[in-house]
Amino acid sequence: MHRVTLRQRILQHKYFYILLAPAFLFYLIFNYVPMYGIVMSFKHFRFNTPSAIGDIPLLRYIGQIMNMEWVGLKWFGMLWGRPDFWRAFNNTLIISSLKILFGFPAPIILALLLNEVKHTHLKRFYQTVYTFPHFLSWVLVSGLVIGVLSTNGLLNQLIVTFGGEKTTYLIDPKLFRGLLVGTEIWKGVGWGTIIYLAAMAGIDPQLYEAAAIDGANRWSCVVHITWPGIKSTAVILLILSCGNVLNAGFDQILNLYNAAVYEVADIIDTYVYRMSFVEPRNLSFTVAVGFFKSVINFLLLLAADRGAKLLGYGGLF
Amino acid sequence: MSIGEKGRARKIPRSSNAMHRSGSRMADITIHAVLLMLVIITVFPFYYMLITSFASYEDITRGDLRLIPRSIDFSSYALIFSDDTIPRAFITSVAVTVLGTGLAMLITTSAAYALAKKSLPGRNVFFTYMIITMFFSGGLIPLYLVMKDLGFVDSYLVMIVPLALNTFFLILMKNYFQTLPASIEESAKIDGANDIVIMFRIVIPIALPIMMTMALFYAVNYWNDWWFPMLFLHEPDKYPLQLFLRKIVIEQQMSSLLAQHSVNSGRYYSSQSVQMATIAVSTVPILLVYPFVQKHFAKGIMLGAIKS
Repeated sequence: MHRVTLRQRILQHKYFYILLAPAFLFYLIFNYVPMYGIVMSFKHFRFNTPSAIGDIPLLRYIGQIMNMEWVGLKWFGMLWGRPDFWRAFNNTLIISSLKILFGFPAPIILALLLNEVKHTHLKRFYQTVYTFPHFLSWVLVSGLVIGVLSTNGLLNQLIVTFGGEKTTYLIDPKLFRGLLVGTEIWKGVGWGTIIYLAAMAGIDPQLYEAAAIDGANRWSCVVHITWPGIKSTAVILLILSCGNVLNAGFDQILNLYNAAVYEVADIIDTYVYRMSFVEPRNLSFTVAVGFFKSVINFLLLLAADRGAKLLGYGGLF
Repeated sequence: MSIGEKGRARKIPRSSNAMHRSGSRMADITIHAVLLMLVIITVFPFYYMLITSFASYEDITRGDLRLIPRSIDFSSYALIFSDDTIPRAFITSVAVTVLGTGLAMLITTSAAYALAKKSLPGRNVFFTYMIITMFFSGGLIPLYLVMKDLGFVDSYLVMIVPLALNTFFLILMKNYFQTLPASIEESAKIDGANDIVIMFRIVIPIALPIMMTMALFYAVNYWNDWWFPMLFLHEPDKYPLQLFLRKIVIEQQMSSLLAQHSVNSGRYYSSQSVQMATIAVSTVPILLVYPFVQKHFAKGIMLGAIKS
């Protein structure tokens, strides 16, 4: 009886399955079929391996991987012993931590400042300006950064005008991480304020009126009304960025770094990219690196989700 | 609250309000000063970009500070539009953005509409299927090999298909559809229209504002994409503008272009000025759609805050 009703329900919804089919195929092709490719990290990759199951696209990919020779944990052993991988691993953690340390409070502070602007048009003007860089690609932003900071760029022109010496900012390992944090904040801080301003808009205005009657000054309104109103949003975003600590900003770094700063700027993602396309190793090795990263990333996200639940903020998803 | 208390409450603020106000004015001035400074920091690189792109070769090689333009010189722009390389890249980017956004909206809207139906059997299975992709991925090389196997090398499709679904946008859209009352679909259902027809004729017209926002988000993604083109396109004729920009600005591959033009025209060009002109040209389309995005994006984010 129950079976029949389920079948009927499915038939009733047949058009919805048609609507869902393209998205289903998209995830299958661009997410799940690649996941099968993780098997390559336990095999020996060879280009042009004959396929085990025919030459239809996708099946060919799977068939080729099936025919590759098993090598066990060889590539993970190699990864474990490579100092350049661990350098990339450490850089990823350091750069992410710096970005959280400085980049996480930045939009909160900016949102608190914007919240104090009572003039609506002015407030909208500020927001419009600050948010704009978010919509530009890192290629373009890096172009601007190079324009401003290169040897013949604006900053050096300024320094020379005031009688100083030219400095090479973009190839200085001491400055590079600061540059990453700074440009990340420049590009993203305005966008980051939106969610906090939305949370602030949800605070009951009567709270402020009551506080004004009690003679509270602006600072204590911020501390006792505005901050409590956005605190849960902030905590969730903080936990989320801790869960994403292995994604230190691939687009940004790939477009800004150079061989002179690899020691401080090479992250796991740029390492995988270079080891695959620029100084190619066996692709099985880079698949192993990618898999290693995915697993840790997954565990971190689970931990973040659990953390959010423990703190009473509900799951992240 | 008794009347007496009310009276007292009204009395006290008057004196403290005066204090409050003078302290407040100082705070206001400080806040606006900080915010204005941030406006300058945000805008300045763009100003510098414009000044440099319009500076003459002589002004740039002199190497001193250029904060106020000494001359307006169009030669960098004339150069980048003198052969069809950059105009072609520009047209490619526009075409990819338009087609890609169309495809992405079709896939996203359809899936979101289906997923908004709480009665759909298997809905939760699909959710899990979708959410797993946010937590876990096969990594760069497996994806690369799959796309290569699909024949994406040197194909325009590589700029369109892989960006055609964004899970975050899909969830935003699904959340929006769930807020629509079921009653709007019922009359059409009685008329015998099927669910796909109902979606196009009734639901989409109502959802048009939010769909415009989504379309703009997708369009920005398409316009800014350089990563898949960089991996898969080897023929410069097929480059989108962002990849060209990367070649010129980041990989500094412009000396041959400049040398050839200098020989042809008998005049010099500054690579710095040409780079900035290229950046300016790539910024313009974003600048044109930005007011529309800006108007709607807060709404989009707010919808995202509603958890599924």
